[in-house]
Amino acid sequence: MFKPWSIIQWILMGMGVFALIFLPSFSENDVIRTWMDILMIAILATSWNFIGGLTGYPSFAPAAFFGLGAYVTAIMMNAGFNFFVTLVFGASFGGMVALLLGIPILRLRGHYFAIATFGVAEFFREIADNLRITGGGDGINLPQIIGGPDYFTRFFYFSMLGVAVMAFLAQYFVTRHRLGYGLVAIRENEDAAAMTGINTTKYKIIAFVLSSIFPAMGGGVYAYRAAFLEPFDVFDILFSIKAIVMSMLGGAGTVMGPLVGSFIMEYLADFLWSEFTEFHSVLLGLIIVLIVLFLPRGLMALFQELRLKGWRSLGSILHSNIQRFRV
Amino acid sequence: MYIQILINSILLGGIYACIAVGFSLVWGVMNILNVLHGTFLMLGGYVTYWMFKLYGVDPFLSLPLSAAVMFVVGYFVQRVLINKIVRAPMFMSLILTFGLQMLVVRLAIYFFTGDFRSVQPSYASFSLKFFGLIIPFVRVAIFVLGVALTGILFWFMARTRTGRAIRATRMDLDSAQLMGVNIGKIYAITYGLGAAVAATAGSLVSVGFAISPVSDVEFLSKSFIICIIGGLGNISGALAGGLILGLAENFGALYLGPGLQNAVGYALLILVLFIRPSGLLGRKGFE
Repeated sequence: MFKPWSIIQWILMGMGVFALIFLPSFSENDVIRTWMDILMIAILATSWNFIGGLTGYPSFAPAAFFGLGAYVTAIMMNAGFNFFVTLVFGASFGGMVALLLGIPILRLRGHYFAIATFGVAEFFREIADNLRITGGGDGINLPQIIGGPDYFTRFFYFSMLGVAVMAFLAQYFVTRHRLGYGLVAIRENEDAAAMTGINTTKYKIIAFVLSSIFPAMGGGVYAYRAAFLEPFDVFDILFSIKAIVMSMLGGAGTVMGPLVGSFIMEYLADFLWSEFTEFHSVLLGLIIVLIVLFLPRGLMALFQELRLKGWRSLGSILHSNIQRFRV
Repeated sequence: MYIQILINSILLGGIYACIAVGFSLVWGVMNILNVLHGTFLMLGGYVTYWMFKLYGVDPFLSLPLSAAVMFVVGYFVQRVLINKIVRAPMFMSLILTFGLQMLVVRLAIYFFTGDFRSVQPSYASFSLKFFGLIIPFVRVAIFVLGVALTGILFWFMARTRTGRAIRATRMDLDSAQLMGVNIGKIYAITYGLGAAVAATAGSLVSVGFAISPVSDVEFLSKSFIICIIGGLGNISGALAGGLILGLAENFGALYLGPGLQNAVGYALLILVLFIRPSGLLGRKGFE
């Protein structure tokens, strides 16, 4: 409880929260926008962690729920509802869809589960592309937010921050609760977990629902901010990929991992790649390959190992990472 | 009219089977969900396209070339990269191939541009007509070659020494190694074969249809659907899955409108996963 490291961690986290709350009062709008993007990806990554990191089910569904939430907000705001009301509805709708889909889909394992979630996202996109209520392939407009750029940059920043904090807190409490331990047990050995009396079906469905409601809210904020939606924008598989990659970079299954991963990747992306946007996905692809080969358990695990063995062993840690799973 | 759609579906199904068979091979043997599969198809198509465009080589003659090129590429991708993580949780190989796919596709867009291109040989518009039915010559040729390719792969797996080693590796990795099979090499050959078959399919597609760097996702999702419907672990599964998808898409377009043609495929995918996760002709035990 009173280990020095954990105190430092708490101080750092407190400072982080303060910095995030007061960031808009001393930053330019484009810096705030960068942080808004970081928070959006952090929401996706943290949420993916429930199902992908803790439970170990390789889900490609974040894009599906992100898109659903975005369209709920778009359709409801056009009908005159308040923005925050639409976020609540989006989250509930996303959670309900996850519940209904989860029951059959979570019976699948491994690659079959991955393909099923991918198929669900693509199916929703095809449907949104053809329905009248979603505006079909022509897209849908949202009411413009009233106020100057200073105002709406902050408005969307704090909305994103609110959702991100909710996602983070949910994750924090789940990992310290029976549920979290049950989910990790499912990841390590599902049959054994079931034998010890864990209701694996229930646990998995809760994890899937948790991993769906926050992306749906994030999608709602994204939609209001973009003021225009197309099926190809919001059901983009890249949202799922980014959630997975950021989570893995930080460390899948850890509380801080997804946040750390999102921060590092998005900030670097904004800092370095604004010059050559064309190669954004080339670099992202390259980073994915390097993570999988050298850091399969993410940066958090690397830090832990470095603390134990010292910085000089960095080379040998990376070497043993790449040797571990070869044939 | 129904007979015409039926013929179209069967011709489409043949090429679909050909698209998916390499994917099924790689998944079935190594338990790798190869996201690069669509990319190999696309690159194979471009080999044929550039051979035709720059040197005037007939598309059907450049098939062996595109197969050979992509076999070498696939062999080294497996040897250098994927073999490093074969024993890791299978999610690793999925995300690794995803990273490579993003990298390659973006480079392909940079070098080839995102335009849709197709090979137009002088005989492209020939077709057979009888009793009011139209059967395009090129599509028939693609169908025949696609099915023949699947047959060759079937023969290779069943009869050759390498094919037997591949099947032994699939059954039990460690025992195969004890029997003197060089696993790293067998895996690389299997992956290379998958890439070569994909490239041939891509070359065929570039004649009758059109290719672009971004069409790889479409090929990939078709492969997903076909393998799930047909089931993994055997080649006839890919053939059956391809035909079923061809029929479902064409009749779906007829009854629901062409806009929902792709949605029919995904709906079928999800439906089959719900009812029979191991596919119609698949065996249990693949995850």
